[in-house]
Amino acid sequence: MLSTGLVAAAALSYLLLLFAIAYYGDWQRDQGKSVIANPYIYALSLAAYCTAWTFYGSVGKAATSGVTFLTIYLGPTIIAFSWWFGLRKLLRICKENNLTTMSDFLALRYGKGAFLGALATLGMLLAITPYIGLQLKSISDTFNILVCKEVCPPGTIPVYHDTAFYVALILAWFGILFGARHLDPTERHEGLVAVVVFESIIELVAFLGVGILVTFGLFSGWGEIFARLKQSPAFHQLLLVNTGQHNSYALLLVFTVLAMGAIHFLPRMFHMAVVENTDEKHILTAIWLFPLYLLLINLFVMPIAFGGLLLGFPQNQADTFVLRLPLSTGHPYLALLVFLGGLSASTAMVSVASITVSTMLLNSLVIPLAIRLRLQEWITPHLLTIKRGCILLLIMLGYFGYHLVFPTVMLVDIGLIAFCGVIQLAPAMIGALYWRQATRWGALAGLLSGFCLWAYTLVLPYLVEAGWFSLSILTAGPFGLAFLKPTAFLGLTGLHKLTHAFFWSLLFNVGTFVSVSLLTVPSRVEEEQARRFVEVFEREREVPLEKRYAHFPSLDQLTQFLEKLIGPQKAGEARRDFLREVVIPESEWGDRERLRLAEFVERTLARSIGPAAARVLKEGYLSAMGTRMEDVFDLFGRISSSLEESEQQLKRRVAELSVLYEAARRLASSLYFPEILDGVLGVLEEKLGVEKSAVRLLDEDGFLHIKGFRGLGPSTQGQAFEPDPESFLGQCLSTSQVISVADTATAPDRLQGLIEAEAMGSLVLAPIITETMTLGVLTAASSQKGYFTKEHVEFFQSLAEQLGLAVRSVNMEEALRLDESRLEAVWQLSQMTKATTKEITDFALEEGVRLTKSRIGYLAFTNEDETVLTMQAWSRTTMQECLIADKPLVYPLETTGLWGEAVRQRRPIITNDYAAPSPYKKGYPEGHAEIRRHMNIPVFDGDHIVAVAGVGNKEDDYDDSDVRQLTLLMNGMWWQLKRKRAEEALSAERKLLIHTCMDGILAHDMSGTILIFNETAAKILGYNPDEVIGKMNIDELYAPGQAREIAAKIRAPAFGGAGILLNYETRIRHQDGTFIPIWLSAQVLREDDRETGIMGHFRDLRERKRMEEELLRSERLAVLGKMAAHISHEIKNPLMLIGGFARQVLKDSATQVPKNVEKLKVIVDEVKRLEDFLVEVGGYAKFSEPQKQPEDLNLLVRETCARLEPSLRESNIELALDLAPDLPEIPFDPAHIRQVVLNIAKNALEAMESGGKLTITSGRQKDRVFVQIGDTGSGIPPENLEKIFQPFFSSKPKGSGLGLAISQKIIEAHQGEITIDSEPDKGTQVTIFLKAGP
Amino acid sequence: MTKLGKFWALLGILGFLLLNYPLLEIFNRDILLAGIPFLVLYIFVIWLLAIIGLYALSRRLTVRK
Repeated sequence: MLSTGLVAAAALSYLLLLFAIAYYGDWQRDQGKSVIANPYIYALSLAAYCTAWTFYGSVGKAATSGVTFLTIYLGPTIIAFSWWFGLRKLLRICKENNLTTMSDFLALRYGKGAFLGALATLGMLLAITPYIGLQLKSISDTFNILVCKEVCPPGTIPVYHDTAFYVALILAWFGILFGARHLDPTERHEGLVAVVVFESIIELVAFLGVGILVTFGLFSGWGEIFARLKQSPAFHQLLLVNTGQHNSYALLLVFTVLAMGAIHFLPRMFHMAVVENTDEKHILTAIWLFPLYLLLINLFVMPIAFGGLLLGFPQNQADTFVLRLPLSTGHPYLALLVFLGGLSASTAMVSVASITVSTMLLNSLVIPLAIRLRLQEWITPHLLTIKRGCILLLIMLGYFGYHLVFPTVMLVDIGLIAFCGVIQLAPAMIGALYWRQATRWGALAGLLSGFCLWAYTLVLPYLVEAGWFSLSILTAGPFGLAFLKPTAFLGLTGLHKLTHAFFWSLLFNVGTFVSVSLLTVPSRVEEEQARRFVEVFEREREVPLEKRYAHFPSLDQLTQFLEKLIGPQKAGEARRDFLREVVIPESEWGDRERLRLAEFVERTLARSIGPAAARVLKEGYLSAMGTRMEDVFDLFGRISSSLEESEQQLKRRVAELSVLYEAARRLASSLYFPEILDGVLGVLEEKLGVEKSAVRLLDEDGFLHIKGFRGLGPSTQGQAFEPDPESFLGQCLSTSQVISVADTATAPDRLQGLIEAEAMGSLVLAPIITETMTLGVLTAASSQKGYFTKEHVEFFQSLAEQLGLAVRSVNMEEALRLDESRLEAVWQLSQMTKATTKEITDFALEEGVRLTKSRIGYLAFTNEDETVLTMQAWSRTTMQECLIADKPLVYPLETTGLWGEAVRQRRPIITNDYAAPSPYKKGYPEGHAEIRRHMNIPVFDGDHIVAVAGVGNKEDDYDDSDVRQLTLLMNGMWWQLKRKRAEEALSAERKLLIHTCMDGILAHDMSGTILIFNETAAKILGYNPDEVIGKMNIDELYAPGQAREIAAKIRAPAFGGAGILLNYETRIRHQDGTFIPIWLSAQVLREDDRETGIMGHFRDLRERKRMEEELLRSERLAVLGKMAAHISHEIKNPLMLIGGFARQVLKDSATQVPKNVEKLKVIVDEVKRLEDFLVEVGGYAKFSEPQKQPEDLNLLVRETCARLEPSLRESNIELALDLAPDLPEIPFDPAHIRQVVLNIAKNALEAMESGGKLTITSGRQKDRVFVQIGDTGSGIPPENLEKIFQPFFSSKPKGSGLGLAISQKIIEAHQGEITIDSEPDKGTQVTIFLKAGP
Repeated sequence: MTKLGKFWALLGILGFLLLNYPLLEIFNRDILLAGIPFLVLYIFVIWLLAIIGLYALSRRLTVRK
């Protein structure tokens, strides 16, 4: 008996030791060293297979069923024979695809749909959870045995008192610490592996320790134990098998098969064997070392079990014999070691299993679901947390599962449930590795049916026993349907529960998997994956591409894409890895590298998020980028379709395909046709053993020329003949069909054109064709009769088609290259906007010489009437070759020789044999460059010839294509020249316009830099344009803030529209700092909806202002003059009267007194009139501001009327007053207003000399008060109405013309208004309005 | 599959057969041999032979590599 403290301390310090080891392992890995890169470590890491179930359960099983338990360890030994090809294949595939779990493996193999992976994950979860619970249970049970000798039955103590609960928490922590400290795309946990290995050693040591104690301490050896057991009637049959259902042969078989599956497909085993493997070769050691480990650990199982039984321990405690035996025989520290060994087994299993299953959950459930729900952006940063959560969840599920669901089940049974669950993966996994026809639907159907039947026939019965379902399901079947009884499905009885479940689940699993696979057709992706998986070892040599990507994104774009998903650091690493892997730089990548990159991106993503999600994301991204897959070349599409052929045929076919591929490669690599031909025929000989072959091509005249051959003798070259339609060659050309002749001797009359060596046995003729025409014939001959088979025919047809393609593409390439070259030259010409004419013509000429492959060249312009040619340029080579120093530049057309013919005949002239006599040729002077061939062309502008371009001394003959090239190029040049001239003219005009414009013009860009500043602007502002353009900012030309105001106004719609400013009056700064008033009109300049600047023109307003002022002054002077004239006139008349009368009075002063009195009266009257007049003039000139005070306007009107009374009566005029009674008092100057009313009334009276009616109305209109004075007099003619308020205007002979002018001045001074309405002969109404308020 | 690979597979199948019905029936006898039950001895011997076979095969491959 040990104290709780001691045991707990031992357990905890042991766990701490494990942490230390794990840290050491991880630390070493970070240092670049690997502690686990060792075959022995790998072999021992597989011991994760031995869990608490082995450690305790084996003894339990041995004590109840005897030898049977050994099968669990014999299975792995047997299957180890397959590891070198089976496990290694699995490993290779997983390594190549970065697969880290089985669900990923299945998802990738079966077309990457998410559902299959999810299904596998769910099945695993169901199978593994109780298994984890089992480990927790064993730890807590053994702990309790160690400290209190008894196991507390679960469910009787609360969770927080349960040791297992704390064990679960610690293990979850352990798992998180070593499995999910960070997200590692390789999912490799070296520290964890180191721990597992350490634990497996402790396990073995502890077990062997107990074994030796029991066998040799408590008994005297194996012999005694077995001998005594044989004597014991109760137990002796434990030494045999097939004594009952619990150890039947069938069960043995089932156990063996289950163990064979479990060693691969338990998630933790898959992880240890596949994911944590560092080198395939380690398998070779594991193959024997792991079975040896299993043998050793089982060596003492039976002695311990039987020893325990013989010592009288109850059989139902057999699970804990290992612990109880040393404890009860006084070896507590050995018991402690055993406890630690068991702890090792459990922790290893729980941590590895929880980590791997959580990875499965993450990759196959969480991420695909997140992508489906479009949450991937949201979920990506939390992946690690989710993974940790999964680990915790799994272990807690295990804990509560065991606590609630399986408390009654024996250890060993839980293990077998898990084994039977994971075996369901076997058909799909093995199919993935070896069966190409296996389809996704097959795998889905198999897995689904397998898992369902497993759950129904095996898990359900245990749940029923645990009391979760009614017991009647077991005894009577669900809903009373007896044939559906879980333990006797379809009435099958007599089998052990496990055998029964194993049989049914695997039967349905395999049955549906195979049959559905056969009934469904795999998708292209599946087919491709199947090929990649099944033929993983054969793929080492390159196969031809079937697919290529079109519009593939660049490496940078893909890196960005990766960065978004896995972070910049990992994306950068992946990028470097890939570049290291492909070696070739990105600029030289072909289709193969792109495919590899696409796969690489997918694999890199798969490491973080699983293959299903990775594929969805990658494809989504690529299709968003416009990338698509397309067939490489139709030929290779046939590979997959013809796989039913025999091996022999296949081999030949592969050879043929490699020829085609090689041929295609050569076609692609060279453009030189003879080289291509030679290469293709060489490959034909080398790969297929075709000794004699030839290619003949048709020329324009229908002659066949041999262009390439093999094995036909040297004399063959250069033969040409016209094929006879009856001959084989002729027939092949005319029908475009492949002809196979088994024996040439049967048709000797049809061998025209064939070489003797070809007509000595069998022969194949294949037409070299393009879509539209037949180009020639490919022949292959053998001296053996009947050598060529039907398949050969097909093959030669393909090869000839490729050759056709090559011929066409060689021709097209050449034409294309020339065209491209010319286009490039023309494009360059078009870019020469700044070049001089000379530069343009020189360039065009050099390009013309180059394009026509000539040596020399020239270019001459014609004059208006095409009579004189002026040499514009000679090519550089001409200048070097021609020795004439002073070449004339001007040539009258009449005197020109051959080169003038192009103008005279108005067409291109080709002279391929210059030496031959010609009527046009006039020879050239000595020293002139020698001419062998010559060609020149006229350059037209409309009907007019503008230039002549000529080239000469090409190596071959000139032909139409040269004419075409040169003509097109020269036309391009002429167009460019014309454009240049037009542009120059336009630009000159524009410059002139800008510079001679009367307005100042300036433009600036968005930053304010002035770009245009014309002469006028410079003159107005006193600058020199050079010191402004590009140097000054517009802000410097305006007063501070003014530029911004203008910029704002120009965009506001109120000043001429948005973006426009019209005649805006502002000021601009002169160089001397003064501001000059201007009218500015401006507009925002735009380019593609983007503001690029502002252009404006302005007019100097100084002159205008000056003129305005002058005008104003002269107007004033005019008024003054008029006034003076009027005044002098007004004064002169009375003065003349006064003077005249005064002189008469003086003369007759004594004689005619009465007369004198009369005259003096007149004088006095006139003086009075003068005084009155001067008062009025003074009143107008010396107008004083009104002294306003609130008064009653009506009262004022009445007073005024009273004054008028005498005059009214005198003139017989009726007065009508209509004054509003409620008129408010308003502020006005009574003296002034009285004068106004009086003036108006007087005018009215004067207008009504023969009587009438004077109406005075007062009233209120809105916020104004008015007085209207109307008469019925003669009225005012309309032409006088506008002048009526002008001073000194009067329609009356005696008026001063100031009355109404003064009235208006007064009313305006009151902020009022005076209006006048008049109709001749009807009367006049004058209205004065005054403001009612203050 | 290489010849050696086929031979491995053959040995594996043989092991499987040796440890199952009906061959197991031959050794399923209630007798002790050298103090050890016949069946247990048989199984362990087969097991050991299998391990030796595996070791020999893997050595062959290791050497060849």
